[in-house]
Amino acid sequence: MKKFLTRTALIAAAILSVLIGFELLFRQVPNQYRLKFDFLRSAEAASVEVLFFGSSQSCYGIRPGVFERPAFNLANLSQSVMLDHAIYREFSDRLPGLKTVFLELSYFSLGMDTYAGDAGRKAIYDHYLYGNPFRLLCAYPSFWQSLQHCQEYFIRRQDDVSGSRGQKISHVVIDSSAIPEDARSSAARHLMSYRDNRQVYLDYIDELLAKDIRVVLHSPPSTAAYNRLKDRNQQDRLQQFIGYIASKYPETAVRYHDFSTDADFQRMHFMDSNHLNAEGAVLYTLKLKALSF
Amino acid sequence: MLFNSVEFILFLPTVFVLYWFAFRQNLRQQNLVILVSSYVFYGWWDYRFLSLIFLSTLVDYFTARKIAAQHDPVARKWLLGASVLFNLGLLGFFKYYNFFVESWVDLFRSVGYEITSVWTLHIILPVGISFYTFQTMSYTIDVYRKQLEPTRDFISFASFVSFFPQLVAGPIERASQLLPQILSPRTFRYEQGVQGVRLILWGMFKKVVVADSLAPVVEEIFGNYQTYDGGVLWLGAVYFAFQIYCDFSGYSDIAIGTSKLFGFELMSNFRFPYFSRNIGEFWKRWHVSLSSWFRDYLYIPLGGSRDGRWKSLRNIFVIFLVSGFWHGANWTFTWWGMIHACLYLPTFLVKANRKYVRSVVAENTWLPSLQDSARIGITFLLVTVAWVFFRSPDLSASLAYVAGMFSDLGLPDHHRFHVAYILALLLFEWQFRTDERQVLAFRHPVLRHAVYLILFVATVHHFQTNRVADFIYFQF
Repeated sequence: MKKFLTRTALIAAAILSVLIGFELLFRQVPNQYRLKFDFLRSAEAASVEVLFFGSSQSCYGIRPGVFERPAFNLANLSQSVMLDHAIYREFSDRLPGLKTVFLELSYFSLGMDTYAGDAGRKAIYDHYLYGNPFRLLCAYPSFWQSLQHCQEYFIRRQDDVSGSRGQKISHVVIDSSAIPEDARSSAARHLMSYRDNRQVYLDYIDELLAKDIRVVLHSPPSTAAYNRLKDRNQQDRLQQFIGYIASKYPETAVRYHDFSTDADFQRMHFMDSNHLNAEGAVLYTLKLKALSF
Repeated sequence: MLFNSVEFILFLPTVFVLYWFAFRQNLRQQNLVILVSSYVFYGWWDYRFLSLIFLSTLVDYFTARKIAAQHDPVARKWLLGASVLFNLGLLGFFKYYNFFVESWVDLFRSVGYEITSVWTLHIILPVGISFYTFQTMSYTIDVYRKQLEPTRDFISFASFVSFFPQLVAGPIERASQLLPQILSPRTFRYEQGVQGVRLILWGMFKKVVVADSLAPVVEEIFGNYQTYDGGVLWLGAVYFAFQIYCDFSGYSDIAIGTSKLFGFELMSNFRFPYFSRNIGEFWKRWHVSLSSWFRDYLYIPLGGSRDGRWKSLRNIFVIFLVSGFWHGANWTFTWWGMIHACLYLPTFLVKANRKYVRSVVAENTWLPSLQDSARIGITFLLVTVAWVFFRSPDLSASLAYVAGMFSDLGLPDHHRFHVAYILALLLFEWQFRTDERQVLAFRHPVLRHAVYLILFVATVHHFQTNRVADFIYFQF
């Protein structure tokens, strides 16, 4: 027994040392999550007037620099409205100047589970949002990609924090011929088993309005190839909810605009079937700016 | 409690310390530790269903003692019948009740009578019920056959029924194999402990890294099979073959490894089934504890292969159909069983079903002969096509999927990356093909420890990034 315990402990210690070494390395590399939560913890957050929440469609598609007022993009990949709300609640005391919040209401938003999408990405909120020090960051976005990020950061001096003020810019733009396939897989991924996020939206909006913060709900643009594959029932549920919002809140407090089929957005504005590229993000943010209070 | 959960990582060392350090002097207390731990392990999922395990334990404990004390053969038969009826009744109600009601409704509808099903109930399927009911039944049957003396020690018997490493997904242990181990004092042996840890690591790797990584790709391909060409559909079927294998054999490895840490030896459940050279050999290597259970308690009592060819064929179909049905309340499982019966039949008719029982492929060489490679390839392809029926939601989807596999055939242009997981797995398994208990037992210490490191880091990484998924066989 003694031999077994000693050898097991020694091997476990050696393996854990390697794991901790990787962990320390990964924590050195800047990433989108740290950037955003560092901003919220900084003194600069106090002056911010406009915040954008949402999923990857907002994360890639909104460039806060277009606004003249201090604005910041807090959207992230597969970020559900529950996480949007949790982030706001955690940091609302540090945002005294906040006047307008843009909430994404995409095709999939009402059904998106908190833990939809890559679980590794969700795990990271536990670390950055709730401060769990034991959450391993090799989960961002995967161990091998984390190693790649290390290589890029330490050797090539590049990092994942590519945009400005929270916007993420993808350097990967898929070929036009691949759009139909991307639309198909995205539409299938975005077909949600019905989960009622309506109440989360309503609670969140009520909380913002109670603090005299105005709300803009928006559906980001996507390509026709993607729009064609949308599920009718899922679309209807979204439309019903939008109708309900319009009847419940005055337009002076809550506005909504659907850009999903906006003809101004052409193939050149997209990086894939449902995400805008850097150029598209500027155009989209200008349109959102016009909607702002 | 799932093996692949943080709770289990804390639970296992706690039980280990209590078992070997706090109560090592007293066998009864050690068995009580096993019993309490097993109930905690199961109750973590849903404590309400502990009453079912307890009830099943009580019934079989007293029935077996009554059978042993009874000399009248008719009374013994009645007692056995009551026990079997009780266990199958539990299983039938929780697992098959709604299925039978709905099947009757469908049957009436098909002949023109439209009836609304008012008898369906909201029944939760208790995890592992198919496993522990079969285990307790084997005890009572063995006592009835006078192959086993009933135990008077209730704690030991209850520990046998609920032994946590194998409670929810097997291996389905025989009382004659496990109960004597529970009733005798155990000593910790270094080699057994090391083997146990290796099996746990290997099982975790198979489940967390391979099975859970393949799961979303399989879901995507099977969920949208109409949109993929034949190449991708083949890939999807192969991925599912390895997903279910790694999921289930991973669980068995962790169960066997965990048992070893407590001084117990469980039976092997998987012996590298995808290296089988015909379907007969496949069934000697896949889910061994279930197939041998059906052989001993169903096939042989029905007459086995002793009463002429036609009866043998009937018995083969019965055993495969029941085996398919055991997996779940859906006709797809029955079709899967039927397909395997048809695939098994030729090997039985040419008397090749037991040809490879005692041998291992390429036993003394590094690579298999061309003939053996071809046999392995053909067997794997047949098994893979049969898995489509197992995985699909209904028969028409299975047939459409299989038709898709043979149309527009070409090299798959999507989801190819995961082939790397399968190749890595096969490389390891081929290395240890002669003894499934000796996985990761590389002779060279540097290589061995490097492999430990790689498997551990890969498992921890995937544990974080993959969603924690139930073991597939929990539902059976």
